[in-house]
Amino acid sequence: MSLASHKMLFFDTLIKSALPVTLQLILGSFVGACLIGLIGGIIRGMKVPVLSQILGVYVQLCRGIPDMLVLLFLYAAMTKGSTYSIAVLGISLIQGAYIMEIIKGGILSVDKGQWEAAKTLSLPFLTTLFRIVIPQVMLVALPALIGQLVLLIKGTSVASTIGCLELTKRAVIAMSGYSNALIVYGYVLVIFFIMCHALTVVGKKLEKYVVERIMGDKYER
Amino acid sequence: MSDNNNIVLSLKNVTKKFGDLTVLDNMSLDIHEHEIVVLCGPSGGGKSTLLRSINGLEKINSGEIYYRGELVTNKNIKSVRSHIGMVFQSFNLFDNLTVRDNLTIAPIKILKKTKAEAVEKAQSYLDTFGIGDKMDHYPHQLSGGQKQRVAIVRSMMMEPDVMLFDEPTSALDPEMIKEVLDAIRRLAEMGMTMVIVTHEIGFAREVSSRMLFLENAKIRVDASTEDFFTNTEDERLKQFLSVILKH
Ligand SMILES: Nc1ncnc2c1ncn2[C@@H]1O[C@H](COP(=O)(O)OP(=O)(O)OP(=O)(O)O)[C@@H](O)[C@H]1O
Ligand SMILES: [Mg+2]
Repeated sequence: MSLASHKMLFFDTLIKSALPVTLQLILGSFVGACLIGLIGGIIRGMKVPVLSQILGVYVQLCRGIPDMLVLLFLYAAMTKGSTYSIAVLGISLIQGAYIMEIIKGGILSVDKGQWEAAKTLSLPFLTTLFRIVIPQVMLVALPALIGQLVLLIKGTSVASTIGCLELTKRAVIAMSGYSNALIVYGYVLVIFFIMCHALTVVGKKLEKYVVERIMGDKYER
Repeated sequence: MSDNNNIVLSLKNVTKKFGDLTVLDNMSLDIHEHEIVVLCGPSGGGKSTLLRSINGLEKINSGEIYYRGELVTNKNIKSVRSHIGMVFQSFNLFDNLTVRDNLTIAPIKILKKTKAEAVEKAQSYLDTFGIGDKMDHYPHQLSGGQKQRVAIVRSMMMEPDVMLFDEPTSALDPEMIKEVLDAIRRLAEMGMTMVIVTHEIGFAREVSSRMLFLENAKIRVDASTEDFFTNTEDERLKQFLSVILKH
């Protein structure tokens, strides 16, 4: 393969046209999954009747169905919407379920006594939730949340199954133009690895920062 | 003792069950202003449940609770609660808030104090209880005795009419017990109405005006502190006291 075709493959096809799509998928599903996860996690953590049972079923469904099938199903079911928006919806739904369980676990880990103390001080429910409980949930759940986010980044490649032109799909298409599959997939693999690795590194720093913000310095978990 | 105007809390035929287990059995009790009532009795007798029922942390099955003559209902429980301070065995400070925020969050939100007012008041209480330098600390940076004193101040910040203590020193190392008991003594000097569950029987005898002996969901003995210790005829109480005094 000539240098020019390497350049064309790597910069033009992968970096310039495919990477932005993947980044948008990541960002869109991140927002969607966090919203679903936070709201659902609170409902499940607070054991809101009916709603939390319904969400429990939803979580089980997402755990029990291959991601690829979820997307294919949505793609078949939705008459409107680009492959991009269907992919964002699907990945948000799938990842939201996992984040929901993380948030729920975090809420349950906050000592019941703090809720009771807040009650005896007449603090409103929402004040207790957002000023006292959720920050402590973040503290315990952040490592798991960052881990889940890495999975979300990797998971965006599933969008290729419905033809969304993100990195993996582009690579598959580009294959026809190049003889060496190892190089094409190699580039994609490296790009995904760098994104995930960067997140892990940034995540560690973020964890430290968040712990200090929430609990002051010198806090030992 | 005193006339009805002075009754802060009144329980009338209160029954509380957990499943089949009756924990408060048709209990009636008046708490008067400035009274310091100590509840004691064997484990499982219902002491914690009694305190928790008073401020609505537990729902009673039957009977009535009155606060200053007003029947406590689902509707007014929130406003009633804001007059009742509660201190728990396990402190229950808000782990993610500094002492300052632990102390000021409720008065700012509920009593509509300005931040400056609330902080000033918090500082003066902290000074009174010997922890004036802890304002910017987080709970995890405090000893158990300091945490419990912060918890007491947190309740006092709401300007309560009555304070409930559920074994405030049971989770503490012996050397820290005194500092918390001293804090409660200060509240006694201020004339605070208090209901205290404690096994610190020497302290109870010194600080209380009235003692209750709770056993098997019933108030078995209700007497002035003097009579409770010297004139009791109750065999179960005698037995309880002999065990606890020896200990
Ligand atoms: N949430 C609950 N569910 C079921 N049973 C409970 C609950 N809380 C308390 N009980 C039971 O009610 C009874 C009275 O409990 P309570 O905590 O009021 O006793 P106590 O006098 O405070 O005891 P201790 O001195 O051990 O604190 C006990 O038998 C206890 O097991
Ligand atoms: Mg108890």
